[in-house]
Parts: sequence; C-alpha cells; structure tokens
Amino acid sequence: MAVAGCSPKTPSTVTPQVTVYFCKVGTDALVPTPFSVDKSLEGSRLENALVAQLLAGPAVPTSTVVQFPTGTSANVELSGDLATVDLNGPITKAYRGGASDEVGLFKSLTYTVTSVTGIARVQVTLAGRKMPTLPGGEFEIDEPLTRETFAQ
Amino acid sequence: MIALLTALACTTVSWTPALAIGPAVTPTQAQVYVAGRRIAFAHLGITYGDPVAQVDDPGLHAMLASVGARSSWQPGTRFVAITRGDGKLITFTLGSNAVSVDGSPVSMPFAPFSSGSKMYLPLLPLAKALDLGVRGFQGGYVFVPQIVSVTPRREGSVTIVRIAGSAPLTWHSSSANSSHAHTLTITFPGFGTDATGAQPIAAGLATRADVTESGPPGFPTTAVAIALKHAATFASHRVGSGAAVDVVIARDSAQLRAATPASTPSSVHVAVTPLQTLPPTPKSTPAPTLPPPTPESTLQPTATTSTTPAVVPSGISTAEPLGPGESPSPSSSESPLPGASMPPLTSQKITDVSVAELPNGTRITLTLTGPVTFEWHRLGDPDDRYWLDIDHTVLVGAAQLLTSKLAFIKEIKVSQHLLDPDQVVRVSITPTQAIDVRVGTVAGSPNQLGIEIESQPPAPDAPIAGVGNTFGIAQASTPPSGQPVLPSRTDPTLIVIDPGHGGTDPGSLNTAYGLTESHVTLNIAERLEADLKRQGWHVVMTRDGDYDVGPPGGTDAQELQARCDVANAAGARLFVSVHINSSVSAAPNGGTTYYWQPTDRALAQTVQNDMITASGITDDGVIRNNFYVIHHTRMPSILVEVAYLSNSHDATLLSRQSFLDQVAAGIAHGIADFTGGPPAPVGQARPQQPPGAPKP
Repeated sequence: MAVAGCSPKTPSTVTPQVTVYFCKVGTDALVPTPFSVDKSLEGSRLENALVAQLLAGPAVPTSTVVQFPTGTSANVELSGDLATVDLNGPITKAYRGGASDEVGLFKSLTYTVTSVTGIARVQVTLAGRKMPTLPGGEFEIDEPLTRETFAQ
Repeated sequence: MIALLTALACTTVSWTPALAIGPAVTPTQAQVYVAGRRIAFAHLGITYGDPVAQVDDPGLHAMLASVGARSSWQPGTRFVAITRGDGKLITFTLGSNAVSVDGSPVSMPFAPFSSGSKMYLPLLPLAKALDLGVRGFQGGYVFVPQIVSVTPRREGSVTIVRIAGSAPLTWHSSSANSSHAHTLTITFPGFGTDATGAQPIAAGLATRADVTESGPPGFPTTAVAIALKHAATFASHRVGSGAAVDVVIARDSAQLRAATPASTPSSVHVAVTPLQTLPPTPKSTPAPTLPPPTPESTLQPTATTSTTPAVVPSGISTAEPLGPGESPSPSSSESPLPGASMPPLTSQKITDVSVAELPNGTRITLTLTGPVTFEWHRLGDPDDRYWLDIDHTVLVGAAQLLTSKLAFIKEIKVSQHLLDPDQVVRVSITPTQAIDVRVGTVAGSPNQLGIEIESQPPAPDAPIAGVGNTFGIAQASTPPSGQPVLPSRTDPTLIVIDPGHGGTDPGSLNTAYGLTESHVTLNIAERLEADLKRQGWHVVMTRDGDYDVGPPGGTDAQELQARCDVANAAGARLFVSVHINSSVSAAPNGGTTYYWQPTDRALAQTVQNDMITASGITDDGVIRNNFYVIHHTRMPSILVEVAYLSNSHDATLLSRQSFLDQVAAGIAHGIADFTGGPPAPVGQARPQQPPGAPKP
C-alpha cells in the first residue's frame, strides 16, 4: 500500500485534473463537479477516489441528480485505456429504477472515470461478473462504455 | 487465404496417391453415432483435425438415411446434392468452402476436396447443414437430431402447433388437466434441441410452449409442453415426409373431427440470377435491371415451382430447377469458376468506400481485401428501404454517410452493423420511392463490390431479397404471383409487442398509487395489440400474462434475449417494447421513445409524435440508447417509455384506463404513419404509382 509522503521520490506538483460528473434526473444532462484529491493519487487509486465520490453523491444532498442506491460500493482496476469498475451492493441483485435513471448512472460513471487522462473505456462488472444489464435493467453493460456510447 | 493455400500446398505432398489433389486424409478409428445408432463408415478419415468421409461411403448414406435425408452424386462431377428430410436442399461444391443450405451459403472450415478419384465431404458442416446437434464424445462423434421449431397457428376453431425436427419424428403425447392448469406434452425420444425455453403462443387455445431437453447428451429426449387456456382435446398428425408433426387442439372432439390435417407447405417460385459484373467506368453501359440477366450472361435464369429453392453453382451453362429428391444436373462442360477465388476463411475488410454518379443512377463502390458473401433486402411500398449486409467483414474507419444526385435518395449509409461475434457491414439506402439496385463485382477490379442504384423504379415483379457472393453463386427469390413479399424468414405483416418486465420482475413500482410497471405495460400492450389488429397487422406478444418470457429461473440475459428471440424467430416487421419510466426523483415526467439503430430514429420520432398528440403526455423527445431488446432484435425496433411512475401527475394519468387507451392508440397511429399500414393481401396489390409520385 502506498502512503502519501513516503512513496514518490519525485512528488507530483500538479493537482490532477479531476471532475466527478453527476447526471440530472429526467434528462441526460451532466453536472460536472470539480473535486480535490491528494496530489499523490494517481492511476487506480485516483479512479477509486473519484468513483467513491460519485457513489457518495454531491456535497450538498439533492434529488436533482441521479445517484447510485445506498450501499453501492465499487472497485476500479486499470489496464491500458480500460477501467474495470466492479460494482457491489443491492444494485447487483435487483434494479427497480427507471430507464432514464439507469442510463444516467452509467453515463455519470463513464464520464467520471474517463475524466482521467489516458482512460477511455469503462467495463462495468457486477460483483465480479460481466453482465448484459443490471438485473431488471435494460441498458447494456457487457461491452466497455465510452463517452461515445452516450452520444446522440 | 494465403495461409490456406500454404496449408493445401504443404498437405498435398503427404501420403495421398500421386494423381490426387487435396489435403491429407488420416484414417481414424473414431466412432460415429447418429440418432442413437452407430454408423459404420468404410473409410472415415481426419483432415485438418475434422472428420471427413467419401461421398459414396455406405456409412455416409446410412448417416443420411437415419435422418430421412438422401444424397446424389455422380463420379467425376463437382457437386453433391443432399435432400433433407424436410425437403430442403444442401449442396456441396468441390473446392468451395461455402455449403448451400436451402439457398443460403454457409461457410465451413475447409472445402470438399478430391483425393484420387474420390470426393470427400467434411462431416461436421454436413451435420450442421442437416440441423443435427454435435455432442461431445471421447471416442468419436455423436450427431443428434434436433427439434428446431414450434410454431402455432389458428385454423378455424382449432389451434394447430407445428413441431418441426431435423429428422423423421417419433413421439409420445400426454395431457394433464387440473383445476388450475391444462397442459399437453409431446415427447420426442432421441431428439435434442437448441430451442430450450418458454415461448408465449398467442394462438387460440394455447398460451405457451415450454421446450426442455433431458437425458444423456448422446440420446436426449426433448419435450414440448403446451399450456392451454382450458381443458381441450387434441390429435397429432405427421406432416409431409415426417420431419414435422401438427398437434391439433380443439375445444371438443366434434371440432377436432371437423378439423382437417394440415396441408403440406405451399410451393414457392425460385429464380436464379447470376452475380452481375458492373462496367468499369460509369458511362460505358446502360444498366439492365435485376432480375432479367444480362444477355451475355453465362447463366440463364429460370423460374419454376419447387418446394426446394434451387442453388446453381456458377460456371455451368444451364441452371435446372431442382425438385425434392432430384439430383442436380451439371453440364459436362464444367470449367473452373470464372474469376473465382478461394472463398474466405477469415473475415475481410472494406478499405475504401466511394460513390460515383452514373448517367442512369448512382454507384457505391466498396474495396475489399477478399471475396465475401452478402445478403440484400428491399422492403415494399410504402417503406422502400434497401439494405445489403456483407458477412464476415469489417469496415475500416468510421461509418460513412454518402450522398447521391438522385433526388429520391434520402440517405446512404455504410456502417459496421454487427461486430461481435458476427461481423457484418451494412449498406443501407433510404429512398422516398421504390428503387432498383444492382449488385456486382466491378469489371477489371475483382476486389471491388459495386452497388448501383438505378434511376428507374424496379419492375413490379422484381425480386425483393437475395443472397450472393463474389466468388460464385448469386440467387434471388421472386414471389409466387408478382406480389412483393419479404423473404421467407420475414413476415411483413407481423408486429411483435413486448410488454416490459413481468413474472419475477415487476419493474418499477408506485405503491402510493398501487401501480406496478409490468401490469401497466401489459395493459397498454393488449390495447395496442387490438389497435394494430384493427389496422390489419398480425401481432405477437412476447407475453400475454404476468409471467417470465425466458426459462423459469433463467438469468436476466435469458429473459431479455427470449423477448428478442420471439421477434427474431417470427421474422417480425417491427418490434415495439412498452415500458414505464421511473426516477429516484419525483420531478421528472413525460414520455420518451428510444431507438438504437440510427435508421430507426424516424420510426421512433413518428411514434413519439403520435403518442404525445394522442395522450397529451409531456414530450421528452426521442433518444438513442443501447437498450438490450432494441439492440438484439433484427428488425426496426423501438422502446417506448410512456410516462414516469414516480411522478404524481404521470402516475395519476397511468391510473386511468382512458389514458392508457390513448397511449396505445397513439403508438398504433405512429406505426400506421410510419409504415402506411400492413401490406395488402396477395391478390390485392396496391396500385402502382408512377415513378417519382409523392407518397400518400
């Protein structure tokens, strides 16, 4: 485990460009939300911090953006330009939300994860398994998602 | 291809006789079982790791006979015709690794070859062409006949469920009646199936068919359980040569007696056209229209009545139609296929797409890395779209939108239609009137495929679908009476409605209003079904009650795929999935229509407009999204999210039957607007419009 302060011999002096994207309910409009992280975070640790912030929701609680169900957790691993986001929690058992929220969840996740330079694709897995959709969902997640996935 | 040629070159130096042409055949002691019986081959061999047998091996004849098929082959000829038990024709051609099955080319790992004076056939592609399942067996190969389809229909007062297999059927039947359930079970010992699962049946007395396989893999038993609305009586009749059974279900024995056994399938006309060679320069030759062949063609087209579409290998001087059991009659003047090269083993690429204007039309030219197979379709009035799918092909670069000087061409698109696991490039043309299209290789450029849009409309009896390839066979079908019909696998009068969710998956809930998504979607779908039937459409519902469409206990993927399977298997013209939206927020409201294929946007927009107009729901627009059921259906498909269950205004509306009726009426109206209604019945053709006349 890397600990800030003892790992990098050449500490980063640039704050990573990080943004968490939320998605407005009922639309596909994104709400880019700047987010400060420790300068030492990079790679998968940075991605995990970003996704954790996305799952936690906006700093000021609001019902105007789509949010992952309470109890959702995630782990992000990187390989090349692909981020694999493994979701856990009730969302992997049953999804009873609507289609627009479902798309919003994955759009916000994809935009957030691909905000890190070098990451272009997001493969979602549910409790470690690649699935075609959320259980009870409609939106396809068995192939990597990109920002183009949501282009009209 | 180079790899294959190298392989062929390397293998011909092995132990085969001096005069032989072809790869090595290694004798094997592997055993072959077909339909539970051991088949003794005189000379079973292994080539490229797969089993092969000589065409005249008694074992091959026994294998075919055990599934009701038979072959014909004359020494010295290059073709082997095998007639399946159901009358469909399989044609193997020496040196071609595309086997023709019922008129469609199916690629196989390697071509039939000759060694000495013997011609060898690969057994696994043969088994596949016979619709036999291939099961694991350490000491050899087990081929299992399959139950391939369960198709219900209504005839007068009785319901008939036709169960078709890939070999003559033997069966047992039983029925179970209780106060709650009435089930009729037909059991087929020795038959496997790839069609396990449940399918709803919207026909008369039957509501559902469950297909299950049990027993050892080498000799399985398939059971078809038909759920009935109430107690009934039934009889089963062998159909045709015995590879199908009609289960006739009636309310009482009087009705059953009055019902006549099903007739054999009606005949079809088949025309064969050669692959065209298009002139190298745009201005050189006026373009003849399909299907009449060019006068200089080496193939003469024929049209005949036959229950088995004929497949005529290119390079022979006449193309005789084939009837069931007849052998092909290749002429003695066989010669190498003109311009033919080895068919593709691996996928090809399209490296360039260009468009050129001709005096009499527009040509799209695709530059290919090797020979390909393709299939084309043309919808009928008033939806005149044309598309051509090139199999096993990857488009290098992004999808391309092309323009044409022809005023009646709205859009031409070349795109990667499918990528994984099937690689298909689609050329789609959206015109405002019927168009005639010629497809062919470009003279002097065998690696270029030309698609020419004629400036003249097609002849009334022009074919509306066909398959072809750039290494041999081209074939097109014409309808029986000049009346345009879609290919046999597509029913232009059929719309499949998918009421979202159901069974173990209720979808979204609004407990305050007592609303469950799966109930509301079914309510709307039932009214939509009635509205569409009034317009003259045939309608199939993926479910007509509160149940899972997929297999009991199946995965979510199976559930969604089962809904797609209903539409794909029926060859529906359109697929409409009905859903109710929901959000964690109470604020969003309104209706949205989703589409996935860009070509379906117009359908989505038309349905959305009419739904909004009819119901007054807030217009949230049309959105492109990758929802499973509109991605995995093979016809124009949309998913309508009618309103938000989570919004009190919308929930109030969704609680009113009058609103649900308006939504259904709006969707039905949109479908009518988009399609112009179902095709006229045969014999009542729509009046032909003069070229360029505006659509009504």
